[in-house]
Amino acid sequence: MILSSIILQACGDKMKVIEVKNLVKDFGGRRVLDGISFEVEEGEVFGYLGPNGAGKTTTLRIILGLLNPTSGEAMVMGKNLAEDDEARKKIGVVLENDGLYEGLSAFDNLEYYAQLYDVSNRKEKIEDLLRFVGLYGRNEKVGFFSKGMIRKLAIARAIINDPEVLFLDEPSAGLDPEAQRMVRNLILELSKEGKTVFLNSHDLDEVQRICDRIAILQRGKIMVCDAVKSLRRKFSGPRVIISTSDNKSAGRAFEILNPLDFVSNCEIDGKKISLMLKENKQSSLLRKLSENGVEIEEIRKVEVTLEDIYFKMQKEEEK
Amino acid sequence: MRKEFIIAKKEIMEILQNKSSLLFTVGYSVFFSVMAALGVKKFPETIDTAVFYIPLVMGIFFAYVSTGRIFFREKRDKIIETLLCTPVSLRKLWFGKVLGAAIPSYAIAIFSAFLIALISSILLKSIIFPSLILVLHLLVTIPLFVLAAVGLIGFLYLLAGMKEVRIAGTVIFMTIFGALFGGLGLIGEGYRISLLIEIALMMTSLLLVVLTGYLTRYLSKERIVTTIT
Repeated sequence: MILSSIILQACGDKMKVIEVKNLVKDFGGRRVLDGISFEVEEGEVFGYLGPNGAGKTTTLRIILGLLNPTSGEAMVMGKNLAEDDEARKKIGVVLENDGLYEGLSAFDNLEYYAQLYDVSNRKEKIEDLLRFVGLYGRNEKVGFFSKGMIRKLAIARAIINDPEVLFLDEPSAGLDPEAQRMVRNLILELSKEGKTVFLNSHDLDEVQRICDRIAILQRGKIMVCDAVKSLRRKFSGPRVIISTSDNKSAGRAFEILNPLDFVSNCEIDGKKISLMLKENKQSSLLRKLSENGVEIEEIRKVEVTLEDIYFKMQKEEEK
Repeated sequence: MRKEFIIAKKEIMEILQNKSSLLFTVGYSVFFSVMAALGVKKFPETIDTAVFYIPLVMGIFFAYVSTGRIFFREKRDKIIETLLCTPVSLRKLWFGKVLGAAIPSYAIAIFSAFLIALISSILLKSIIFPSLILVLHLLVTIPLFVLAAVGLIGFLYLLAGMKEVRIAGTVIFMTIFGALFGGLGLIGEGYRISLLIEIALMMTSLLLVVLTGYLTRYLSKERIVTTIT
C-alpha cells in the first residue's frame, strides 16, 4: 500500500482508496441500489448525497461489509471489508449511533476501542485525542455529555487507530449550529492530515463547505458524480434573484419568466423571484420584464450553490 | 490480550460500574440464599439440595438478565453496528460478550452457594463441607449451563428482530428452566441429588454448549444489521 502510494504519487496519479463497481442491492424484491459505481481517491473528502431512502446508508453498509451486495463489489484499499478483518484496522467509522457506552467515561470508551484495534501507546494516544477534541480531563460518564461532546468523542473514537479512510454517516445530524461547525472543522483538520473522508450526508451546506467531490444519489442511482467546483462550472448559468415592488408584480414576473427557454428553476417567494439562467441573458430578462410593465426594485446575481444543483438534478429526475 | 477477553473485560467492568444493578443482583442473591439457609436450619438433610439448585437457578437467572443488558441494549442502541466495523470477527465478538455475561452470572451462582453453606453452618453450628457431587456440580455443570444459557439467549438477541427479541429471550429462559426441572423431576425422586442426576445435567449442559456453538454459524452481519430496526 505504502510503496504503491509512493509510485502513484511520483506519477502524479492518486490512489483509489474506495472503489465501488456496479453495486446492486435488493431487499425483498425491491431494488434499493441500482448499479452504483464511483471511486474515491486518496486524501479526498467525498460527499455522498441524497434524500432519505435514496440508498446512502445501504451503500455505506455494503462498503463497510455490514451488508452483502446482490451483485457488484465494493473495495476499500483493494480489500473487501466483509471478508478481511485485518483490513478494517485501516478504517474509522462514525455511524448513525456514536458507538459509545454511556456507562463508561470518555477515556474508558476510547481505551476499549484502542484495544480492539491493537493500538500501541494507548494512554498517550488517548490523552492526545481527548485534547484534540477538547475533552481532556472530563472524567464523568459519557451519559452526562451533551450531543456535541458525544459526537466529538465519536470522532476521536473513529480515529483512535489512525485510519487511512474515515466513513462518516450524517456526522452533524441533530447538532446545534455551534456543534455542527465544530464537527466540520474537525473533519477539515483530518482532511488536512491527509485522511480520506467519505461523508454520507443530506446537509448540502456542510457538503459544500468541506467536500472536494460529491455524488448525488436518487432512488438508488447516481445522478451525478463530480468535483464541487466542476459541478458549479457545469451549472454555471448564474442564479439571479429579482426583487419586485409587491407580490402581485412577482406573480406577474413569474408567469412571464418561467416559460422562457433560457430560464430554469424559477421559483417565487413573496416579492422575490429566484431563477437560473442557462446563458448570460440578463439583458433579455430585463427587457421581457420591462416590456410587460413589471416593476423591478433590484436584480442581483448570486453564485450557484450545491443546493441549486441538487434540486435541479432532482427536478430533472422527476421529469 | 485476546479480543474475546478484551470484550468480556469491558462487559464485566460495565456491570461492576452499574451500582444499582449490582446492588439488586447481590441483594437478590443474598435474599434467596438466606431463605434457603433458614430452610436448611429446619431440615438439615436438605442442605445438598439447596446448594445444588439455588446457585443453578441464580446463575441462569442472572445469565438471562445480563445477556439482555449486554446483547439487547447494544442492538437497540445500534452500538453493535460500530463494533461490527472493528477488526474483530463476529464469532469473537459474540463469544467475548457471552463470556462477559457468563462470568458475573457464574460468580453470583458461586456466591449463593458459599452464602448458603456459610449461613447454614452458622445456624447449624457445624461446618458444612460439600460432597463430591456438589463440587462437580459447582465447578463444571453450573458454568456450562450458564454459558449455554447466555450463548443461546445472546444468539437469539442478535438473530431476531427487535420486536420478537424480548419475547424470544424469555421463551428460551423459560424453556431451559422448564426442561431443567421437568427433566430432573422425571429422573430423580423429589429432586434428590444423585450421581445419575449430576451426570445427566452435565451431559445436557455440554450438549447445549455444543449446540450453541454450532448455531452461531447462522449469525451474519447482514442479519444483525437488518434486524436492528
